Amino acid sequence: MTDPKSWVDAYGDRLFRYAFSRVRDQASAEDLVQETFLAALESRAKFKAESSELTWMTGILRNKIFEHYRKQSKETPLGDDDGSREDDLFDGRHWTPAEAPREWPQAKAESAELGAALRRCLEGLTAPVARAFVLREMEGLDAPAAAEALGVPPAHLAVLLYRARLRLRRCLEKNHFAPGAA
Amino acid sequence: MLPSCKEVARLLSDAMDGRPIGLHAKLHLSVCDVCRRLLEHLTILRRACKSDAGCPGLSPLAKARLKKALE
Ligand SMILES: [Zn+2]
Repeated sequence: MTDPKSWVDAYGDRLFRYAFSRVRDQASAEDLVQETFLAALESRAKFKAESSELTWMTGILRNKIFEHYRKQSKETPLGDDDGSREDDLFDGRHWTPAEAPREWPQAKAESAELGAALRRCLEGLTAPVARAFVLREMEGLDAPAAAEALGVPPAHLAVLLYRARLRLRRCLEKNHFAPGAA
Repeated sequence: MLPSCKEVARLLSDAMDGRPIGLHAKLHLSVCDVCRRLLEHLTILRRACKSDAGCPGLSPLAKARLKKALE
């Protein structure tokens, strides 16, 4: 086990990025990293050398993020997100001409900027929709596990994910893929 | 009758979570460029989630605070 004094320089940025991309709030992400380091310090005896320190700490951080989500879920009731914006995408059965997905240039789909654009778009989602998306797509939980972590029925999770994906798709098309967009 | 674009959009999202998409939606996709594009975009979206690129690191101030907490 390395000297805890070296942890901030060795792992701080990586853990912060991991937390920030998931909780979307700098102060909370910094707090989570700090809690992670302190928990690691306390449970150093349990560290097993077969995993790397970074992997071990990421595991601790991940649990802290889940706790953070559970707290937030209690504060923001899921009812605060209505689906009216999805109805605007369709004109009865079909896509409206303005909202129909366009061709995305391959170079932009492979550019490193895409990840940054996605994170900016995530900030525009309502909290319940964003949490569902992060748990499923960034944390990689399967749908039943994500529903359980959020405390919602699977059918509601599917609705939240649908909203997240359509809104993010639209946001990326406007802000990343459109001709002239960065 | 084949499902509408609106219904297919929802089915494609569900398919990203492992639900089979069904024959009627597949037929719709075979004749609808726009929904095929949606499927492609959902796949790109999933891939984009796997990278941390472009995320800022810890601020110097936060680093100093964390180092203090670990002393
Ligand atoms: Zn269609």
